[in-house]
Amino acid sequence: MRIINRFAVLFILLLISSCSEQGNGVDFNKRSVSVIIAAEPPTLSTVGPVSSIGIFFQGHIFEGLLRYDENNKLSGGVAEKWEITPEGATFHLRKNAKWSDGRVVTAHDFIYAWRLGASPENEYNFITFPMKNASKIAEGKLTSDKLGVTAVDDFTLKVDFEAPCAYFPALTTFTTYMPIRQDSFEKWGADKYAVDPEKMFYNGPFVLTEWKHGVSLKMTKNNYYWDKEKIWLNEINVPAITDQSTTRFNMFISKDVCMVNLEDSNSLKSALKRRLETPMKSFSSGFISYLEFNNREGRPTANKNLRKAISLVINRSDIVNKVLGIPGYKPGSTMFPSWLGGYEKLLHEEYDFNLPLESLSEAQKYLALAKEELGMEEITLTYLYSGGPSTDGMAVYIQEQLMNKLGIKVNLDKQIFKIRIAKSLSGEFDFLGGGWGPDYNDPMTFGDLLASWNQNNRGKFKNEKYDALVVQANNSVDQKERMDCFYEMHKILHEEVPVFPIFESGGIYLADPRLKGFFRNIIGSDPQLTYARIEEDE
Amino acid sequence: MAEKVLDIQNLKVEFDTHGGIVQAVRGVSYSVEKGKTLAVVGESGCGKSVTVQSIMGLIPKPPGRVTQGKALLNGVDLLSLSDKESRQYRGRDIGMIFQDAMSSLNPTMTVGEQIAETLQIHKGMSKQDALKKAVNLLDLTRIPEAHKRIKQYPFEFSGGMLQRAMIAMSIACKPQVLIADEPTTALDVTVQDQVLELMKDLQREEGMAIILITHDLGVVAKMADDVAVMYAGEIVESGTVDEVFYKSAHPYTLGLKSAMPSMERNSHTGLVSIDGTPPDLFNPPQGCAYTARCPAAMKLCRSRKVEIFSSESGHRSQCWLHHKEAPVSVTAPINRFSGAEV
Amino acid sequence: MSKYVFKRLLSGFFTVFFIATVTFFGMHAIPGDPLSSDKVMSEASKEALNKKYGFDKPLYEQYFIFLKNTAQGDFGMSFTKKGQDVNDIIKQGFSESAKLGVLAILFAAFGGILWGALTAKYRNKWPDYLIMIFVILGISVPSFVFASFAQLFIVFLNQELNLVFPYRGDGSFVSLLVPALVLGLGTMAFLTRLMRSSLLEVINSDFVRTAKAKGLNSWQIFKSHELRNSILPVITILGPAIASITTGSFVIETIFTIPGLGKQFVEGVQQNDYTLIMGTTVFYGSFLVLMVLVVDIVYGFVDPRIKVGESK
Ligand SMILES: Nc1ncnc2c1ncn2[C@@H]1O[C@H](COP(=O)(O)OP(=O)(O)OP(=O)(O)O)[C@@H](O)[C@H]1O
Ligand SMILES: [Mg+2]
Repeated sequence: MRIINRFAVLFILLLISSCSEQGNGVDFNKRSVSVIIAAEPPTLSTVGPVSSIGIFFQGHIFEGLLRYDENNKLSGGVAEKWEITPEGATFHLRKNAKWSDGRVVTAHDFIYAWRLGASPENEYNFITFPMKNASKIAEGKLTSDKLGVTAVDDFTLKVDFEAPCAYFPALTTFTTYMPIRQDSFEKWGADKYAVDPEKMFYNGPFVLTEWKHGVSLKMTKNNYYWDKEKIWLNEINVPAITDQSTTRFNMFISKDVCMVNLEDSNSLKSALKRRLETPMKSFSSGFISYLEFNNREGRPTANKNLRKAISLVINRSDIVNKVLGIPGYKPGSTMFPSWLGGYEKLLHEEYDFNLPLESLSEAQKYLALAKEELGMEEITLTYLYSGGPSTDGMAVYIQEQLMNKLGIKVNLDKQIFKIRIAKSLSGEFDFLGGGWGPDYNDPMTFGDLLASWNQNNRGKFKNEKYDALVVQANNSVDQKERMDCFYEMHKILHEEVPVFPIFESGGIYLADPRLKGFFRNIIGSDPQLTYARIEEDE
Repeated sequence: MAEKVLDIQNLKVEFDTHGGIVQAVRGVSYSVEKGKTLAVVGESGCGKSVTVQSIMGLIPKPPGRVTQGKALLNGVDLLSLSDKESRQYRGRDIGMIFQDAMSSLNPTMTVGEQIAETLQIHKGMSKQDALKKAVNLLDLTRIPEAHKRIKQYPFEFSGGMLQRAMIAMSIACKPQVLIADEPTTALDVTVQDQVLELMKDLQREEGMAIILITHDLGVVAKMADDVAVMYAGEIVESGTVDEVFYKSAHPYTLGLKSAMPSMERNSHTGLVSIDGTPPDLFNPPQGCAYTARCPAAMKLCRSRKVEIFSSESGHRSQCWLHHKEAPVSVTAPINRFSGAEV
Repeated sequence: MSKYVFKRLLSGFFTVFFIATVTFFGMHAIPGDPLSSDKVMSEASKEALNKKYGFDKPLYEQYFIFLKNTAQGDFGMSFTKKGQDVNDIIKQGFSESAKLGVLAILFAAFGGILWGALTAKYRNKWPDYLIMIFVILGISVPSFVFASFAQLFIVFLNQELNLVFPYRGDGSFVSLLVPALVLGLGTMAFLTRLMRSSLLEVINSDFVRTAKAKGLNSWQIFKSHELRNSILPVITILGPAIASITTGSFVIETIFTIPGLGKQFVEGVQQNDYTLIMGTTVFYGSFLVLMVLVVDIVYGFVDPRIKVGESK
């Protein structure tokens, strides 16, 4: 009995002592917000491995030549003015842009960073390819000082293009284009630079003040930021790191974070059940998911009629609505997702991407043709994929559809991510579940994926007309002409079916209603909290 | 007559089993006097152990249950006490030793601690004092190098040594009654003698009463003052050793005796060689339980509940043959008692 | 005794060496490497990075480099967590996992013994049935279900009662209680069952009858006779259980946001982080070997019949 009493006292003491701070998802008085991230960024170096979670931080602590402003419009960042011609671009840097130690940001900081960015050691060096000599530097054929970028003076940066690049100004907001402080980078070395708050300098609206590895991070307002008047927030906290959607949801419910994505149907259901006052909003991740067919010789999927037959029996909206049931996903009929901008409005508003699909009975005809051409009676295919329960569901659905409607047997080859990548590169598949996310805000980020020279073209699709269109769009600065090219590319893909787009992923999210002025971005930092503010409680 | 230290009266014990209710003890009465030894003999399964275990509160409940009877320890009925009250008597006023000393001692506790434990709970001794006393007790039971031995574990002891340690444990609190349930069955003949000798000596010194359960009539002859013969959950004959051995009154006792090749000590023949098997205790016969195996059985034996006859000296036997109207000729050596007593 | 310990340590060393070797070559045999990512690198990039990390060397050479570094107690730098030493990652992760794990083991051991004792004492009565239902649940339901449920429950309680009980690891001791309970649940259930059957055997043993005959009450009997004798099988499985629980559980750690070793290990495997995989594997292997040895020694203390080092 006495023991039980003692336990009770202990427990109550624990309860009392456990009154840790909670509910600081948004804090008006401290001007702070908290968000949760799924994984720890591998590094915050802008020339290290690129990750979307890294970009979230980099988008707050660094600023490129251009930035997205409080209206999410492209505008001047470190550069006040810029001119672009088919041959190149010139950026005029503002003189009051400073690093977090008060030093002025100069053109040399960009040149230093971009040379690193173009070097073979940077896996993302392809993003620098619009600049003259970049691809040769990436291949190791030229040294990086031959990169087509020069400092006319400390505040004037001149870029020479390899080929005309209409979207270059937008590209300068990408993480690889952020400036780097040479002294800091050299002091710590490539591996240790930017892995702790004191191992880098910042020129963005925020500085990283805390990074407990695996636990939490914190950004606070940068007092040296040239446009700090526009920044209302003092603090952005990342109190925890987890990819468990239920935990993240619980953190939102407990008001410990200001925002949460409802990534699975369970958290959506429980959100609905709780009748939260918070309105649900949707966001797009920008990703397109597709089946990619192996066009390598000897693979049955190299046969166009077989690919067409398969494409006709898979119902995208069934997969999205019945199999996956993940809120925010949209059936996708094209490799050019609906959020992409066109020459004036959205690409999908300017062109019709819903080309009619042929009827289901056609599938049998294509199959018969394919069998004849291949000289095969029975067709067995291997489907390579990775992921969780939802991708399992999709795999089984595809397996069933192909068996029931076409009599094609599908072997499922489920692998962890890295192995799937390795197998897809070596061509050990007939078709695979793939996906692609954008690197910059232009249809080309999807368009050149299936160019025959692109390493990421896992199915080795090769179509001369398509390749020519990619080149044409690359070399043009006329946006209308370029968009026409992309639409033509879409039609070729529709006809040849090297890939079969299934859905555009996205999601539903909840945000504290007091939080205003933030953006959910497809390109760049997501969420973008730079201009966020909190409304005062009633 | 000397005072009865422990007096068991009309004890009935049953067990619930899957096959039904086993009536293991069916109205047993016996008593033991101060400084005396009562031997309880009988075939395997006749209820000897259950009788003593039930007065010690050792039968598992359920499935076991005492349905009737008293067990008076100096006039206090142990069976009517609460578990908490009766615990005080156990180990203090009644000590008990078991057949297999090795399994009856805790393998993970030193012998000394196990002896000391009794003293600690009943005498309120500190562990240190109790351990010192344990050394004395081991000395008393003639275990050499007792101070070393108390630190050892049971597996480091020989069988006879263990039984002595067991005795030391059971007499630690100077009990008035010592119950020994086949204490020597598992031992070598020579060791057996030593242990029995020890018990006798201790009895002489401490003046305790002993209930000795055994199969061995030789042991009975050597140790006992009184004998109770048990059959199928009942006492069929009881009296002094002389009365029961030399003036056996019950056919079963005669059977037991004749089943033994000789009355020599050291003979270890079990009591299994009487023809036939004991009755089914799920459904005991209406009349005398021994009828089926009894050479002198009469019609009456089968149907009518048998009464107990006793002589003036207190020699008692449960057999119709003692009835004055019973035919004399049936068997020769039966003692005839004068009156019936129920 | 010390000779015995030395012998065991030596054989443990070879065990770990074997595990490390198999893991090393197995890991390299799997397609993909730490550098592969969703978007393909150019050949030149790949070459440059392979050279930088020494992947261009023949495998046996990489293996000897690994052995040499490991012998010096250095597992190298993580590939995916830039600038972090694997040693530091293990140290940090293990200190978190161990805190959680020790608590979980305490819950599991005490709970298992307590519930096991109750079920044995009340065997075939309702407490027995009730507890055994929970035991079956505890064994068959995966821990992430309990974890999610427990967290949801706390969040719900907090909201309804306006409490602030921590529903995830925030570094405080209290916040570890529920995760530890959930983490220990499976082991607790298993131990309960083990304890029950082992205690049932002991309860019916002769020496317990002797103890009763001495006049001990049931608590005294349990404490000094039944417990020690029935606990032996529990101790046997406790060694591996301690090793596996204190080195972390990925699921519990991600759900309750505890930065432990289990999470690091799984992430390492997912991302082919060679150095991290090798570091955690060698660490876990050594720890397991050590715990089993410790348990064997403890066993010798609990059961005097077993003499550590002499039995064979
Ligand atoms: N726990 C129990 N459950 C059911 N029946 C029992 C139980 N304990 C004893 N019995 C029954 O009670 C009867 C008497 O058993 P007991 O142990 O007293 O015999 P015994 O005379 O001591 O025999 P032995 O000489 O073999 O020791 C037996 O028939 C036995 O089956
Ligand atoms: Mg017996």
